[in-house]
Amino acid sequence: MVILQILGLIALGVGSFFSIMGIVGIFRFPDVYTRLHATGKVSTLGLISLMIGSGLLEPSQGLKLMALTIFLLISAPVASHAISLAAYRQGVPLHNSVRDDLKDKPPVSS
Amino acid sequence: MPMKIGVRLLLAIILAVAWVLLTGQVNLFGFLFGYALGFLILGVLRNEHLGDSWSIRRLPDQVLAFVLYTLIMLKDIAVSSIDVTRRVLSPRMPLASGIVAIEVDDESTHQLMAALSAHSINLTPGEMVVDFDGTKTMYVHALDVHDCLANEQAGAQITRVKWFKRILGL
Repeated sequence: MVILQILGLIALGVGSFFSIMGIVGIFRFPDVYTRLHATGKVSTLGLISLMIGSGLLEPSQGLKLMALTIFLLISAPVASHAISLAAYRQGVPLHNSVRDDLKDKPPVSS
Repeated sequence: MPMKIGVRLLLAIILAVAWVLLTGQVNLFGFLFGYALGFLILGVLRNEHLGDSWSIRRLPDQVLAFVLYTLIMLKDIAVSSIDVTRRVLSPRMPLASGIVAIEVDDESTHQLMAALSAHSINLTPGEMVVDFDGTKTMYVHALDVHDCLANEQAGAQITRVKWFKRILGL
Protein backbone atom coordinates (compact mmCIF):
# COMPACT_ATOMS: atom_id res chain seq x y z
CA MET A 1 0.00 0.00 0.00
CA VAL A 2 1.43 3.31 -1.10
CA ILE A 3 -0.74 5.36 1.26
CA LEU A 4 0.55 3.47 4.30
CA GLN A 5 4.11 4.05 3.18
CA ILE A 6 3.53 7.77 2.66
CA LEU A 7 1.91 8.06 6.10
CA GLY A 8 4.79 6.08 7.57
CA LEU A 9 7.34 8.37 6.00
CA ILE A 10 5.48 11.44 7.25
CA ALA A 11 5.44 9.97 10.77
CA LEU A 12 9.17 9.21 10.52
CA GLY A 13 9.77 12.81 9.44
CA VAL A 14 7.75 14.23 12.32
CA GLY A 15 9.51 11.89 14.73
CA SER A 16 12.94 12.91 13.50
CA PHE A 17 11.99 16.57 13.75
CA PHE A 18 10.93 16.29 17.39
CA SER A 19 13.93 14.14 18.30
CA ILE A 20 16.23 16.78 16.85
CA MET A 21 14.32 19.49 18.71
CA GLY A 22 14.90 17.55 21.92
CA ILE A 23 18.64 17.60 21.28
CA VAL A 24 18.60 21.30 20.34
CA GLY A 25 16.77 21.88 23.60
CA ILE A 26 19.56 20.19 25.55
CA PHE A 27 22.01 22.67 24.06
CA ARG A 28 19.90 25.80 24.31
CA PHE A 29 18.25 25.48 27.70
CA PRO A 30 20.20 26.89 30.63
CA ASP A 31 20.05 24.28 33.43
CA VAL A 32 19.44 20.62 34.25
CA TYR A 33 15.76 21.01 35.01
CA THR A 34 14.76 22.84 31.85
CA ARG A 35 16.88 20.46 29.79
CA LEU A 36 14.98 17.55 31.25
CA HIS A 37 11.80 19.11 29.90
CA ALA A 38 13.36 18.97 26.45
CA THR A 39 14.51 15.35 26.66
CA GLY A 40 11.62 14.01 28.69
CA LYS A 41 8.78 15.38 26.60
CA VAL A 42 9.93 16.32 23.14
CA SER A 43 11.99 13.18 22.67
CA THR A 44 9.09 11.09 23.94
CA LEU A 45 6.80 12.47 21.25
CA GLY A 46 9.59 12.06 18.71
CA LEU A 47 10.06 8.42 19.62
CA ILE A 48 6.33 7.66 19.63
CA SER A 49 6.12 9.15 16.19
CA LEU A 50 9.13 7.15 14.99
CA MET A 51 7.52 3.97 16.35
CA ILE A 52 4.26 4.73 14.53
CA GLY A 53 6.18 5.40 11.35
CA SER A 54 8.13 2.15 11.62
CA GLY A 55 4.92 0.29 12.37
CA LEU A 56 3.27 1.66 9.25
CA LEU A 57 6.24 0.71 7.10
CA GLU A 58 6.74 -2.72 8.68
CA PRO A 59 3.32 -3.85 9.94
CA SER A 60 4.67 -7.30 10.80
CA GLN A 61 6.68 -5.78 13.66
CA GLY A 62 3.69 -3.83 14.97
CA LEU A 63 3.31 -5.72 18.25
CA LYS A 64 6.93 -5.29 19.25
CA LEU A 65 6.83 -1.60 18.39
CA MET A 66 3.68 -1.22 20.47
CA ALA A 67 5.35 -2.90 23.42
CA LEU A 68 8.38 -0.63 23.01
CA THR A 69 6.14 2.44 22.97
CA ILE A 70 4.39 1.35 26.16
CA PHE A 71 7.68 0.74 27.97
CA LEU A 72 8.96 4.09 26.76
CA LEU A 73 5.85 5.88 28.02
CA ILE A 74 6.25 4.22 31.39
CA SER A 75 9.97 4.78 31.82
CA ALA A 76 10.70 8.20 30.30
CA PRO A 77 8.79 10.35 32.83
CA VAL A 78 10.12 8.26 35.71
CA ALA A 79 13.66 8.84 34.49
CA SER A 80 13.26 12.59 34.18
CA HIS A 81 11.69 12.74 37.64
CA ALA A 82 14.50 10.69 39.17
CA ILE A 83 17.22 12.76 37.51
CA SER A 84 15.65 16.06 38.56
CA LEU A 85 15.23 14.95 42.17
CA ALA A 86 18.80 13.65 42.31
CA ALA A 87 20.08 16.88 40.80
CA TYR A 88 18.12 18.95 43.31
CA ARG A 89 19.41 16.95 46.27
CA GLN A 90 22.96 17.28 44.97
CA GLY A 91 22.42 21.04 45.05
CA VAL A 92 22.49 21.72 41.33
CA PRO A 93 21.30 25.33 41.09
CA LEU A 94 18.38 26.58 39.06
CA HIS A 95 19.41 29.10 36.44
CA ASN A 96 17.53 32.41 36.49
CA SER A 97 14.62 30.84 38.28
CA VAL A 98 11.69 33.01 39.20
CA ARG A 99 10.57 30.95 42.12
CA ASP A 100 11.76 28.03 44.24
CA ASP A 101 9.29 26.70 46.76
CA LEU A 102 11.39 23.63 47.50
CA LYS A 103 14.21 25.68 48.99
CA ASP A 104 12.56 26.06 52.39
CA LYS A 105 11.87 22.38 52.75
CA PRO A 106 14.25 20.12 54.67
CA PRO A 107 16.37 18.37 52.03
CA VAL A 108 15.65 14.71 52.67
CA SER A 109 12.20 13.19 52.60
CA SER A 110 11.47 9.52 52.92
CA MET B 1 -4.97 -11.81 52.26
CA PRO B 2 -4.69 -13.22 48.73
CA MET B 3 -6.24 -11.49 45.78
CA LYS B 4 -9.78 -12.35 44.71
CA ILE B 5 -9.74 -15.13 42.13
CA GLY B 6 -11.68 -13.13 39.53
CA VAL B 7 -9.26 -10.23 39.81
CA ARG B 8 -6.36 -12.62 39.41
CA LEU B 9 -7.91 -14.22 36.31
CA LEU B 10 -8.30 -10.80 34.67
CA LEU B 11 -4.97 -9.32 35.70
CA ALA B 12 -3.26 -12.45 34.40
CA ILE B 13 -4.55 -11.57 30.92
CA ILE B 14 -2.57 -8.34 31.01
CA LEU B 15 0.53 -10.20 32.16
CA ALA B 16 0.01 -12.83 29.46
CA VAL B 17 -0.21 -10.14 26.76
CA ALA B 18 2.97 -8.59 28.10
CA TRP B 19 4.62 -12.03 28.05
CA VAL B 20 3.59 -12.61 24.44
CA LEU B 21 4.87 -9.19 23.39
CA LEU B 22 8.17 -9.66 25.20
CA THR B 23 8.94 -13.16 24.03
CA GLY B 24 7.71 -12.50 20.51
CA GLN B 25 5.97 -15.90 20.42
CA VAL B 26 2.63 -14.74 19.10
CA ASN B 27 0.74 -18.03 19.31
CA LEU B 28 -1.72 -19.77 21.55
CA PHE B 29 0.90 -21.74 23.45
CA GLY B 30 2.87 -18.60 24.29
CA PHE B 31 -0.27 -16.88 25.51
CA LEU B 32 -1.39 -19.81 27.67
CA PHE B 33 2.06 -20.22 29.16
CA GLY B 34 2.21 -16.52 29.99
CA TYR B 35 -1.30 -16.70 31.42
CA ALA B 36 -0.44 -19.59 33.70
CA LEU B 37 2.76 -17.90 34.79
CA GLY B 38 0.98 -14.60 35.45
CA PHE B 39 -1.74 -16.37 37.44
CA LEU B 40 0.83 -18.07 39.65
CA ILE B 41 2.82 -14.88 40.18
CA LEU B 42 -0.31 -12.94 41.15
CA GLY B 43 -1.04 -15.59 43.76
CA VAL B 44 2.32 -15.01 45.40
CA LEU B 45 2.02 -11.21 45.43
CA ARG B 46 0.96 -9.61 48.63
CA ASN B 47 -1.52 -6.90 47.86
CA GLU B 48 -3.12 -4.12 49.81
CA HIS B 49 -6.82 -4.67 49.17
CA LEU B 50 -6.40 -4.17 45.46
CA GLY B 51 -9.67 -5.07 43.82
CA ASP B 52 -11.52 -5.86 47.02
CA SER B 53 -14.60 -3.94 45.97
CA TRP B 54 -14.24 -4.80 42.33
CA SER B 55 -16.85 -6.56 40.19
CA ILE B 56 -17.00 -7.58 36.54
CA ARG B 57 -19.76 -5.06 35.78
CA ARG B 58 -17.27 -2.25 36.13
CA LEU B 59 -14.95 -3.57 33.45
CA PRO B 60 -16.49 -1.84 30.38
CA ASP B 61 -16.42 1.52 32.10
CA GLN B 62 -12.83 0.93 33.21
CA VAL B 63 -11.73 0.07 29.68
CA LEU B 64 -13.56 3.13 28.33
CA ALA B 65 -11.95 5.35 30.95
CA PHE B 66 -8.54 3.89 30.17
CA VAL B 67 -8.90 4.54 26.43
CA LEU B 68 -10.17 8.08 26.99
CA TYR B 69 -7.40 8.87 29.44
CA THR B 70 -4.79 7.50 27.04
CA LEU B 71 -6.11 9.81 24.33
CA ILE B 72 -6.04 12.78 26.73
CA MET B 73 -2.44 11.93 27.65
CA LEU B 74 -1.42 11.65 23.99
CA LYS B 75 -2.93 15.08 23.37
CA ASP B 76 -1.05 16.42 26.40
CA ILE B 77 2.24 14.98 25.18
CA ALA B 78 1.75 16.56 21.76
CA VAL B 79 0.76 19.94 23.21
CA SER B 80 3.67 19.98 25.64
CA SER B 81 6.18 18.94 22.99
CA ILE B 82 5.01 21.68 20.65
CA ASP B 83 5.17 24.15 23.53
CA VAL B 84 8.74 23.17 24.42
CA THR B 85 9.75 23.18 20.75
CA ARG B 86 8.38 26.72 20.43
CA ARG B 87 10.48 27.82 23.38
CA VAL B 88 13.57 26.05 22.05
CA LEU B 89 13.31 27.66 18.64
CA SER B 90 12.39 31.15 19.82
CA PRO B 91 15.51 33.34 19.73
CA ARG B 92 14.77 35.03 23.07
CA MET B 93 13.83 31.74 24.70
CA PRO B 94 10.88 32.77 26.88
CA LEU B 95 11.59 30.99 30.16
CA ALA B 96 10.40 31.81 33.63
CA SER B 97 11.32 28.53 35.22
CA GLY B 98 10.94 27.72 38.86
CA ILE B 99 9.73 25.16 41.34
CA VAL B 100 6.17 25.56 42.53
CA ALA B 101 4.66 23.85 45.55
CA ILE B 102 1.24 22.43 44.82
CA GLU B 103 -1.13 21.43 47.59
CA VAL B 104 -2.90 18.18 46.82
CA ASP B 105 -5.94 16.66 48.46
CA ASP B 106 -5.98 13.68 50.78
CA GLU B 107 -6.78 11.09 48.14
CA SER B 108 -3.52 11.86 46.38
CA THR B 109 -1.60 10.57 49.38
CA HIS B 110 -2.50 7.01 48.43
CA GLN B 111 0.85 5.76 47.15
CA LEU B 112 -0.50 4.40 43.90
CA MET B 113 -2.38 7.64 43.17
CA ALA B 114 0.66 9.73 43.99
CA ALA B 115 2.90 7.69 41.70
CA LEU B 116 0.42 7.66 38.82
CA SER B 117 -0.38 11.36 39.00
CA ALA B 118 3.29 12.33 39.27
CA HIS B 119 3.84 10.23 36.17
CA SER B 120 1.09 12.09 34.33
CA ILE B 121 2.29 15.49 35.47
CA ASN B 122 5.68 14.73 33.95
CA LEU B 123 4.00 14.46 30.56
CA THR B 124 1.70 17.47 30.82
CA PRO B 125 2.72 20.79 29.30
CA GLY B 126 5.68 22.49 30.90
CA GLU B 127 5.76 20.61 34.18
CA MET B 128 7.88 18.00 35.90
CA VAL B 129 7.57 16.66 39.42
CA VAL B 130 10.76 17.14 41.40
CA ASP B 131 9.70 16.04 44.86
CA PHE B 132 6.69 14.83 46.80
CA ASP B 133 6.72 15.04 50.55
CA GLY B 134 4.33 12.13 50.90
CA THR B 135 1.63 14.06 52.71
CA LYS B 136 0.18 17.01 50.86
CA THR B 137 2.64 18.94 48.76
CA MET B 138 4.05 18.20 45.34
CA TYR B 139 7.00 20.23 44.12
CA VAL B 140 6.67 20.79 40.42
CA HIS B 141 9.27 22.32 38.16
CA ALA B 142 7.65 24.48 35.49
CA LEU B 143 9.13 26.11 32.42
CA ASP B 144 6.85 29.06 32.96
CA VAL B 145 5.59 29.49 36.50
CA HIS B 146 2.92 31.94 35.34
CA ASP B 147 1.25 29.18 33.35
CA CYS B 148 1.28 26.97 36.40
CA LEU B 149 -0.94 28.73 38.91
CA ALA B 150 -1.19 26.69 42.06
CA ASN B 151 -4.98 26.62 42.39
CA GLU B 152 -5.48 25.70 38.76
CA GLN B 153 -3.07 22.80 39.27
CA ALA B 154 -4.90 21.59 42.35
CA GLY B 155 -8.07 21.39 40.23
CA ALA B 156 -6.23 19.47 37.53
CA GLN B 157 -4.93 17.09 40.17
CA ILE B 158 -8.45 16.39 41.47
CA THR B 159 -9.62 15.61 37.92
CA ARG B 160 -6.63 13.34 37.43
CA VAL B 161 -7.28 11.39 40.63
CA LYS B 162 -10.91 10.95 39.55
CA TRP B 163 -9.72 9.44 36.26
CA PHE B 164 -7.38 7.04 38.04
CA LYS B 165 -10.08 5.94 40.44
CA ARG B 166 -12.38 5.27 37.51
CA ILE B 167 -9.71 3.31 35.65
CA LEU B 168 -8.65 1.27 38.65
CA GLY B 169 -12.21 0.72 39.81
CA LEU B 170 -11.51 2.00 43.31
